[in-house]
Amino acid sequence: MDYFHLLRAHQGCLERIALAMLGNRPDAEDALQEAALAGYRHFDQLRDAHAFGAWMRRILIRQCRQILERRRLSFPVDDLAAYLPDTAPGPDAESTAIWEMVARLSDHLRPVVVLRYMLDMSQQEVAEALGIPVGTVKSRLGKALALLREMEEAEGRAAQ
Amino acid sequence: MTGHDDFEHRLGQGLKRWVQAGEPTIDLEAFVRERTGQRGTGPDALPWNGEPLEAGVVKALAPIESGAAGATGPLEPGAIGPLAPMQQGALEGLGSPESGASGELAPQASGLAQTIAHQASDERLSGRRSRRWKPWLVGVAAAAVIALALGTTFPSWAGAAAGLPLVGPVITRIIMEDAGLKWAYDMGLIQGNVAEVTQNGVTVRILGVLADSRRTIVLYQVLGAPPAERDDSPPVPTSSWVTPPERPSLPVEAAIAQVNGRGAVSSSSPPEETPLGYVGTVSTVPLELEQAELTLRFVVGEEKITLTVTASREETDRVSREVVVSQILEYDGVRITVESVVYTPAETVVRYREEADRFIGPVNWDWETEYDYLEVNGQRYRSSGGGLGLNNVHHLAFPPVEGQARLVLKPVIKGSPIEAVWPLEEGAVAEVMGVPVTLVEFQRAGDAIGFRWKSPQSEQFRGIGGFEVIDSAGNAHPLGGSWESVANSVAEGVRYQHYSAELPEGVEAVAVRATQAAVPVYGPWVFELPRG
Repeated sequence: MDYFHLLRAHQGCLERIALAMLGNRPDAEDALQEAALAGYRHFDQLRDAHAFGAWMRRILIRQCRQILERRRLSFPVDDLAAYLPDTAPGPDAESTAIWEMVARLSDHLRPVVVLRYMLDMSQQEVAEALGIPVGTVKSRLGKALALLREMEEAEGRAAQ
Repeated sequence: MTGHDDFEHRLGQGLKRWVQAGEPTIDLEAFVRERTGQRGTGPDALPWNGEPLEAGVVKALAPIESGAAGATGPLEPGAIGPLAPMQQGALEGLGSPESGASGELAPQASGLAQTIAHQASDERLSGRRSRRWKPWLVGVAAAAVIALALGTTFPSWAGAAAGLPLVGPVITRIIMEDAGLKWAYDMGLIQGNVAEVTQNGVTVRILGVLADSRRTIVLYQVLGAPPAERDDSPPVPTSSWVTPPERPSLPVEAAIAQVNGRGAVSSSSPPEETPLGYVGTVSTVPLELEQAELTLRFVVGEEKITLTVTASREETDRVSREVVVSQILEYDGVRITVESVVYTPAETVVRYREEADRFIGPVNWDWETEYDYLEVNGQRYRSSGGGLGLNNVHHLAFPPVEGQARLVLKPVIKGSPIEAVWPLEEGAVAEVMGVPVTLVEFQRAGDAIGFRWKSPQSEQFRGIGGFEVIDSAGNAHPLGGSWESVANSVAEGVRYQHYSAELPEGVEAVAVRATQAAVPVYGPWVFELPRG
């Protein structure tokens, strides 16, 4: 077993985490590539192969955070197509629908939801991962949940 | 389990199922191998330094760094090629042989093109992002070259068009900066040479009128206006930062006072002084009828000149199509109704109504990420202009689009009532929606009073407003009656606000109160529009 074996085993999941954090495939690919490179270069720091998934997730989240911060600072008008939410089907209709709602959240809200509910991180961990105060995490989560509920209700009304 | 818990549970479970369903879609291994100088292609081409691994323990692989050479991928044929012909073509097509300007333009544009082409090739050489960045850079290169060429050569070809008389570069620039105006001018749809009145040596000339689905706009020229008046008010002491706003001393004011005899609200930018007199524009909302009489009022020094012109949408409506939409979204006390979309050859104009408790005060936006846009076929188009009309009806103009479009509006600011009081003591703190806001400084200067606050940047609110001072008897006196000066900015996570205004006569203020907070309502404000 080597780095690439482990990477292949986790790549599908990592791709989706990047896509969920960043909302679009080109940026997700950038984050993945940088994370894969960083993982390769620092592989000697990993002592337990079983921890590879969590270890890579941390590296990937760091890359995603950098891209989100860069995106906030610089948002080239002519390249906006790259920032559209990309679709990706889940294994069932409900999970696909949930992703499509989360994908519509803004860059402020979506990563918080992803880390908290997809990766089960605590609010403190989310705050550390994104470099924001815990209070901000709480308020963003509250806002995101309210929006998601409204979206779900709107979808429900539309389906009736 | 409560509904709340159930929702969060379903959200978490759904997201976990979704993430577990992910399959690799890109060749990460090849990327890492290439970037680190590994040329092997198979999954086993890079062993763990040939050493067996202990169970459950992953040992380090000494990375093989190859620097820039390793990172440099092969340059695909044509990576730079398509860019150069496009720039060359743009220059050849736009620079007229008789224009001396185009001759000067060529080296400048060519240099820009080369710089951008170089950046594009650098991105390509990096082996990454070529899919995203090359089209962007090529697009920017083309747009930059075209903009330079147009900006320099416009007067020569625009002058050939019929209808509107050109009175120098200012009117030319005004037309060029507005896609709808430019297109209407090119098509001869601006009614030119409309009216002219001379009174006591002052001439008001209406150069053109355009009525379309977005607005009704009048271009004018004023000759014989007196020179700009000097401000005779006493100078404000330099030690004071509480200053009334400088009043414009331009001697020309223009307004569309009436439309078909009914009072109208118009907006105008300060006219610009040119060697050919003052030129400027004044505009109002789109005409509700196909044709209307506009009553224009000009104040030029001591002269008050009124004239009437006819505006017609007949020609512009012939080439546009209005589709009624009537989509409503409502979040947190804010209701937005998209009423219609107008598709023209020059613009896509969206008309919508915004109903919210208005916040009276300045709001600080992060324009890099907060703006209105249309999303069509995977592309985003920022709004190129717009305006607020009567009854909270907004118009937003976008480039012309075809296909299924989605309108995405930036957060809406609503005024939320608060009760935050600061005694007039520097350092006094009051909480606004749970955030401590500090009165950093206050000052009296003559009849004016000013305040400065700072607070941690918060997502709860974007500013405070609705200011009052409180006297020693506890009476509140609203500020901002005759003038006010406001500022709202954010730097390094801190919001700074400044407010100064005339202090009501005879009032001895002991405290200042803010009665409103600017609360962002995020939506999502997303509207699916009918196909263009």
